[in-house]
Order: sequence, then structure tokens, then C-alpha cells
Amino acid sequence: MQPRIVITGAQVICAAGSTPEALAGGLSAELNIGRVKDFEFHSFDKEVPCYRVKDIDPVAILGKSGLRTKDWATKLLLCCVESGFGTWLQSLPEADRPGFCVGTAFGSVQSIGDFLSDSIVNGVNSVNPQAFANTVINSPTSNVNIRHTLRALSATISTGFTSSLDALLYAADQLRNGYLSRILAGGTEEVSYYELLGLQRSGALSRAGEIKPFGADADGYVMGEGCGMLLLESEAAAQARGATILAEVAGIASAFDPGRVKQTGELDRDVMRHVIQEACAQAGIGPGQLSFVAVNANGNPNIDKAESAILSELCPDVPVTAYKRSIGECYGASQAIMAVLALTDMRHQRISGAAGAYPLVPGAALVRETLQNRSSEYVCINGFSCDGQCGAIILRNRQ
Amino acid sequence: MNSAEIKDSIHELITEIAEDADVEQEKITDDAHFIKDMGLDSMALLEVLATMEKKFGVTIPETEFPNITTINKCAATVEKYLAQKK
Repeated sequence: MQPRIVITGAQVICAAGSTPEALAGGLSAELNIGRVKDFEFHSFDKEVPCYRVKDIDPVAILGKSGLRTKDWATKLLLCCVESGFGTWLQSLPEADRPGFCVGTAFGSVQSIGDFLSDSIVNGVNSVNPQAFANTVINSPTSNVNIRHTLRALSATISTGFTSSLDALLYAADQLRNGYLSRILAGGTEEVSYYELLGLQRSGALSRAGEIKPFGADADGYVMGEGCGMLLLESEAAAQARGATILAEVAGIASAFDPGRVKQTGELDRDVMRHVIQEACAQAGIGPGQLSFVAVNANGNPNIDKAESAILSELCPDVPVTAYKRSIGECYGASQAIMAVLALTDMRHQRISGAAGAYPLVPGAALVRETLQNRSSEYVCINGFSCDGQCGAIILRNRQ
Repeated sequence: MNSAEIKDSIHELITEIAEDADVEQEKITDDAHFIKDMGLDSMALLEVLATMEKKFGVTIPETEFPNITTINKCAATVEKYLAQKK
């Protein structure tokens, strides 16, 4: 029999807040949309809306030493791990420290692009060789491994929108198969010039500068950044050390079907349906027994429409919330951040509403005003990518 | 830029690199060896070389790499190649 996987720690840094405690009061009705225009080597013609992390000071959290050549993606991840787990990690003998697994779609793409830009603009002899270490996608992960001497596992999962969900799946598989007893897993993503430029040119970003999950007049999404980390353990390992169990990973499923996307421009609904049903089956429940769903919806008209239809079909009476309204589209970090937000909602017996009064697509049932005094047992978090990668994770409340 | 300004500029760069590497302030002197006295590594020295070339607009051949081991030697090397430019 495979061991149960439980969550015994959670930390988040996102535009909506930089600790679960900071989010205890709920998501703000004020959206934290900022604007960027100038980067080190490039600039946009006009400001681009995005959700940025503003209220953390890496030097205060990490100390000054060793930070000079670390990029923002790495600092985000280092800060999240240090503030959420640093003291605990340092208290453990090295052999007992968890493995480390991070999902990211773009990793340190700002560093990669800047390194190349510097060499093209100023010549190859002018680049800072110290910056080269930032130009690999697993650089943020490895920096955490090094800082905290985490030798058991160093894994970076990059599967686009669903990277952090796939990182959690990878970690859960490692635990279920008994390879390790605990893994710190989640996702991280930074707002970068190169992502924004690519997304802008592809037409994915909202021209109106607003993210409207399931919005009838949604025209794309607004980029976000942040980091969410969960400490996953086998239940036996957690109980052996007397850890407080926050939740159980009751089900987690992932599937990929790029063919339909190419043919129709819409995501394959069979795949979306399958991952929700499979995750629910693992949890031993039907979709109708979910307490609430944290949706993938981000204002992409095609995918939102498909997700809304699937939820109407599978669980029409289950409340649905859209955290991305408050945090932006955090790409490879999305589901990990959403999982921490869902844990926070479960702890405080509420379902956060998606602020604003924009009109919804027909059939979409989105919680608008935060529902209080709502205890939740099973929560589903969706991740659906326009490239065909889909996933769902079911958390069972143990708080 | 005169000799004193060149040395000050290099001192500032080395201080920034050394502080990031947790080198004690009193070890950062004009004649302290970057590796033996400050404990910096070869990557840091490459950064020093690249930054000096960019900052002072000179091209320093790689054959000089073994010679740029102290702030004073860095300053002398920069002055040598600035003079060659004239």
C-alpha cells in the first residue's frame, strides 16, 4: 500500500502577500496591479501591467552575503524557503533534510537574456562571468540546495503553465515510491522583459490590463510573479516527528494532449475532464463532493470557456474561486501559490472571492464576495495550459 | 582619469566583490592578494578583469591575468594599457 502524502508546511510570496499570515485576513479587493517599462538592457514603449512582488527585502531575509550576483528569480525562491522553512531546515541533521523540487516555466530567463544581450551589445569580453551561473533554468533551485545543504534531491520541472503542479506530482511520486520521506516542492516565477515581450507579441496579455477569470469580455491575462512552497511528507514521517499536518494530497493527476490544441485552437476538454476525475478518484470522492475549486481561469477566452463548461458538467453546485484575479498569471508557480492560498482559506474557513463585478461567461459560477464560515474538506486546484498540459490536485483538509 | 582615481575605482569594485564573499574589511588592502589573502576565486578575478576593461575602455590580454592579483597591480595594469592607447 502506498503511503499517504501530507503537507506539513507552506509558504508563499506573491503580489497579494508574502506569508500565509499576511493573507490571513483574506485577499484584498484592491488588485495589486503594478506596471513595468524599463529593464536593464531593454525597454517597452509604454508601461506593461503586471502583478509584482513588492513587499520583501532579500537582504533583510537572507543577509547581504552572496546576494550580489543572484537574480530576482533566485532571490524570490531563496526568500520563500528561508522565511518559511529556514530555521527548521538548519535544525535538522543534513541527512534528514528534505529533497527539493521546483516548477518553473521560465526560470531565470531575465538573466539568460541579459547575459546574451550584454555579449551582443558590449562584446563577449564584457559580460560578467559571475552572471553565467544564472543562465541555466535550474539555477534558482540549485541555489537553495546549496544554501540549505539539501542533498537528497535537486529537481527543476519545466512544463509551462502547470510546472508547479507537475513538480508536486513528481515529489508525490518520489514519496509514494518510498525514495524519500520528505520533499520541499512548489514553484517560482519572475516577471521578466523577455516573457512580457513574448506574451505581448503572442496576444496573450490583456490589452485592457485586467485579468478577468471567466469574464465575458476577458481579453487575456496579466502576468504575475511569486513563489509557493509546500513541505510534502509521507504521513508516517510526519507523525514520527510530531509535525502538524495541514492537509493531505488526496489526489493528483496530469495529462497531455497537444493534438487537439493544434486542430481547434481550444484545449482538449477530454483531458481537462480526465485530470479532475482522476484526481477525485484517487481521493475517493466524486467531483460533486468537492468543497470548492480553485480554477485555472485567467482571462484566456478559449481555455476559460472550456474550464467553465467542464466544471458545470462535473460539479455544477460546487463553489469556484479564481485566485489569479488577485495574483496574476504566475505561470510555472501558479498551482503551488494557489495551493498555499487554498490552505489559508481552509484554515480560516472561508472561500475567497474574486474581487470585482465584471460580467461572467454563461454558466460560470464564480464566488465574488468571500464566503465566510465555510469549512472545507476537499479542495481541487486546476492547472490547464494552452499547450495541452493539464493537471489537477485535490487537497484534503487536516487542519 | 588619474592614478588615484583609477585605484579608488578598482578599490570600490574589489570591496563590493569581497563584501559579498564575506571578506573582513581589514583584509581589503591595496596590496592584499585576492586569492591568498582575501580568499576570492578565479570567477571573481574574471569579473575584475571584465569590469576593468568595460570601465576604463581598455583591452587587457589574457596573458596579464596572472598579474592582476592585488588592487595596486590592477591599477598598474590599467594604467599600462591606457598609456598604450594614447
